[in-house]
Amino acid sequence: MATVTISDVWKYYGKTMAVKELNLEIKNNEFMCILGPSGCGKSSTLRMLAGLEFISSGDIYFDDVRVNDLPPRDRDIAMVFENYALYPHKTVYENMANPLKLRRTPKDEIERRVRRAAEILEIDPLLGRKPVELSGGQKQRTAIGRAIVREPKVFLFDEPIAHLDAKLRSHMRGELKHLQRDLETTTVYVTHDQLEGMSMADRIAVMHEGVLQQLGTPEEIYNRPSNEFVAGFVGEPPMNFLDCTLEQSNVGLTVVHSGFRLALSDQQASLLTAGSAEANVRIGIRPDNLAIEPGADGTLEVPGEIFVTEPLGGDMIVEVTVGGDRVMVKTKIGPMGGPGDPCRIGFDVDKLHVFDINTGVAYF
Amino acid sequence: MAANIADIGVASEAVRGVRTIDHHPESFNHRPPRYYLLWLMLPAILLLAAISLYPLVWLIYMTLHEVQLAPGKSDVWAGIDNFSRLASDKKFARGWLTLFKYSALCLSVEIGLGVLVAVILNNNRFEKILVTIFLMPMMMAPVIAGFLYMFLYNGTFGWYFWLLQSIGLLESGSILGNKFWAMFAIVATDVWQWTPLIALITLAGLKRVPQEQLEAHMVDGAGPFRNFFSVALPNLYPFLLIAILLRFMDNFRFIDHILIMTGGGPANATKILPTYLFDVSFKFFELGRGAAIAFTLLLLTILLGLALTIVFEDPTRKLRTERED
Repeated sequence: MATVTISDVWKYYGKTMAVKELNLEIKNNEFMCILGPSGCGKSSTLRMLAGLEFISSGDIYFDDVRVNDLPPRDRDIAMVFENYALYPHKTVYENMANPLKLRRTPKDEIERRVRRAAEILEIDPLLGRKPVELSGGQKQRTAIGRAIVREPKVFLFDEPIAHLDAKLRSHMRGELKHLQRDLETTTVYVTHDQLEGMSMADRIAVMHEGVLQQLGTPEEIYNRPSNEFVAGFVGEPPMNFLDCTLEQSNVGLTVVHSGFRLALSDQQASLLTAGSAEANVRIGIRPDNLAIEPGADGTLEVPGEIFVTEPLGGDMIVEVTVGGDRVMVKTKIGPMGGPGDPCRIGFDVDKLHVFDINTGVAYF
Repeated sequence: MAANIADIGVASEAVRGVRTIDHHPESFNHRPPRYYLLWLMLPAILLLAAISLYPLVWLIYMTLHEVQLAPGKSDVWAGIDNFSRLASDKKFARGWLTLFKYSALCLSVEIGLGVLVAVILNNNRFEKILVTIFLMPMMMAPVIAGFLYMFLYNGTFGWYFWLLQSIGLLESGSILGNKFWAMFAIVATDVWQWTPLIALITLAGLKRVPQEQLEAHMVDGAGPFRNFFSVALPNLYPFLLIAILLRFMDNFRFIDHILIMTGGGPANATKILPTYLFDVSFKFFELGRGAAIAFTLLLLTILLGLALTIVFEDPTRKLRTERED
């Protein structure tokens, strides 16, 4: 129950910069995901929010209170760690009761709250066990339980489900999202897994090399990436990038690649002109926005050659060689032919992204 | 039997359509015997027997005899006389008491100080150099440390004596000649020489305390003190156990300080059992009785060692070795 304001925050470790001029406002009860590859500064940011790391410069506010100099215990936060950080010599019950005990909560109140949290997380039969007797998923639930027994201002999650196996992870994504909606608590969730961010967050902050790249809803991040990094980081399989040139002709602006030519819409053309784009650009298109048909003489406009097919059960990913570059196409599974066979692909030009080839900034 | 198992294999193959391997099933979980390991260990076993078992057998032999040192005389069988005489030996009982007092004082001060020093040293900017400086007392031979402190306590030119006198704790006389102060003086020497060992072991332990547990505890609402006692200390138990065991046995063995400084005096105030044993065996040359005393010391060392291990046994350790995940 708090807004979190990160204002002009920098973090240095010695001379190494970890976070650069970060400005971020997390709304009350919002589920904010900080997404980025390892070393992007997302964990440093979270640890500064927790008070486990000094802020090199800048300010962090919870509501209107500047918390820079407050130790973790006075910030009214709860944190779930990547390695769970359970106390091995304490039982599940004692682990979960610990934050309450340290805040001198009456015994019956502790009992009530721990039991309630354990019920929500479905770990009530395990309360008497020690962490070594738990599976990974149970440990993780205990760690979450320890966080939710209090009603903190802010939840901080540091890759809490990164170490679970794939099946459990997808289950926990749903559980965590549901839990956050239930508890109505401002949440900051750090992860390197774009799927977690996309599926759970209200808004995502994508970070790279200490710099905030884009802040937006999952839908915005996915459909309108602000630069090449965000475009490539979000989405599975990743976006295809192709170096092209722009050509002005009597029909309008055309993207020219050694394997194809694409006429851009007037709106796209005006955006490029407004951005004073150079002749060389990089286009990006998601594998979902490409169509494919086998055979040399189909109706789709771009000819290509199948490099490899990867069936995924219901869908399949086809890698196609187009004019010297390789693009991935995601399509429904069906007869496609093998490596070396001809095929034709089609671009959904409306879904095309164009980036500056040097700066990576998106024109659209 | 072999035929039966083969039959079962065929049957199950037919029923489940699974191919079974034609082996005795129970042989899967057994490693082949590795007798060659015995041969590899033999030199070590022989060496151990020569330097450890042989003296032990001799010790037991001596406890049961009146050992004669004069040439030509043979040892006289004494049965349990050596032991039964100890029961009425007041110095023997007092030796035990003094030993426990001495050990308890040394251990409590050393553990307390050692842990404190380790906490201060841990992650200190000057940790490496401080550790090196701090380890110096340990590198000194105990005999030399004994002499050093004897001079420091000296009533005419000793610096410690002068210090205690200046702050009004001592009036005159000597520290080591005082029945009350002598014990503390010797404990202080032991503390000076061996606290670094405890600190070193604890420091190694502190490095193994999981950082996230400390951080989680801080987020849970703990201050630095709570953090140390609730998270670091439980993680330190195995290390402290080793330190306590080592120092406890050292207190039985290292009697250099006492022999140099007081020889057990004044009025037996510092005569711990090992010094009494030294007197009996090598001053009075009653080797049989000395052996009996040594034997009781040996038994107690073993028993206390076992007891400590049981008390400090980490109840989760067994599980941890059973299922690592």
